[in-house]
Amino acid sequence: MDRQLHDILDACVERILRGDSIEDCLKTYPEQASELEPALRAAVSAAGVRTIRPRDEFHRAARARLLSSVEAGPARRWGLGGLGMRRGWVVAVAVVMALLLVGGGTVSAASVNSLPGDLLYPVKTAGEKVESFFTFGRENKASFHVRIAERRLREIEQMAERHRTVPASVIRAMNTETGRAIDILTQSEASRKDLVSKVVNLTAEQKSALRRLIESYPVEARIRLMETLQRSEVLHIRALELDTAVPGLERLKIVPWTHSGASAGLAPAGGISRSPARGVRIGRGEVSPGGP
Amino acid sequence: MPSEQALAKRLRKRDPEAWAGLYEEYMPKIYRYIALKVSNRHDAEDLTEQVFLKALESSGRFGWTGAPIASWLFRIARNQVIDFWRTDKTKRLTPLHEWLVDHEMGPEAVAELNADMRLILEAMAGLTRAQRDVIELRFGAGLTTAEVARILGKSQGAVKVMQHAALAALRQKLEGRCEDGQAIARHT
Repeated sequence: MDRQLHDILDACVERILRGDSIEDCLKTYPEQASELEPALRAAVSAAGVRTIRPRDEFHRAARARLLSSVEAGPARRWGLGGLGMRRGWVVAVAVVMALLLVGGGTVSAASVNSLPGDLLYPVKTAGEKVESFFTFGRENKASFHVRIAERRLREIEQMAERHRTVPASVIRAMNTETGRAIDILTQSEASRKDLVSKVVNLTAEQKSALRRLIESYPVEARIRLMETLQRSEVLHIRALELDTAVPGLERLKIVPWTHSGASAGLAPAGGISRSPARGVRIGRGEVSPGGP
Repeated sequence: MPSEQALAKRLRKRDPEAWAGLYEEYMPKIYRYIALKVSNRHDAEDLTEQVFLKALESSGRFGWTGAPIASWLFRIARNQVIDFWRTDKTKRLTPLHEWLVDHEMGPEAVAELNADMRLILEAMAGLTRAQRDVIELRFGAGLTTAEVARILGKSQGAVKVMQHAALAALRQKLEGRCEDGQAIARHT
């Protein structure tokens, strides 16, 4: 195919993307019509992906969040010599050091039971940031993230019990910490069975807690929570995938999707099933209790 | 839309009106591009939002070099998608065609469109990565050949050749999946 034909096809594609018909394009280039037509028909089909549109709710909410960030101004970096540490880190280190030096640990201890929105909650999360900074080694890091995810889960449960609004950021933090633990465990081979079992139980608990939370919310507030639940379900599946030898789950197996569209993400609704011999499929990432 | 250079300056100064305009212009395109790459609405939304937040974060360092703003945004989007797949390859849950299409149509039209989308997406899955890149950016994001060339780091001529090859391959795969060619004909 010569260069001229590539240029003509490109010009026609541009017209089709602007709404012209194939016939209009072919009339402009009658000599190349026979070569152009099949490619233009494919172009019209490809243009069908333009029907993909974001949800209106997402469009509005993301716009509001972006503009709020625009107006909030840039995140400042504090000097501290050549360290270039972020302000949050500086505050976290300063708070914890001050607590260790002056408060003798009293305030820090009191913050342990604080919940999001409480006065001492930032002290609690600042302490976690420092602890994270000084945690070394894959296993220790994974344990740390599991512990923090568990802590977020308890906070969510306590807030729900007290009929307090659970900030979305706390749910996201729980999922993020869980995801980090799973990421580390996925890359780690040695002595991780206890931790994997813990993550499997934790993610199962998280799913249940989020379901209960969703049921307690008004219908219009549930959509965003449904998405966090979906994320939680994905994490649970990933936790199950980590070790198929987890007690009680030996017969569960992730079934690879063999459909021809797999590489485009045309996956099945579920993805977990029992062995083919048993023939039980569990859709949507739901894992039912063990069978016979 | 003001000149790209003037817009870049306003973006760097965090002018809310400029950012709102940029968002309205590019968000649906970025979303469509990412949705085709990640096949999950939740992740597509998260990543799309992250693209704009990252753009905002780096806008202070955004120096006008003559490159279109679209290239800057789509390069961020492309990196986001690469990071996404690097950290977790198990995120695909929902068949793409089931949730991506316009939901304001009647049930019959939705069913028909879903079927067409399924054919198109399956056919696209059989293309090479380079061919998919061109189709996703050109048809999904609606970018010009020049913009696609900048994002992919290729010449415009090379993109036109890839586009031609991609459309030929797509046509072949669509014919293979749709014997009577109904899906193709419906769009013409």
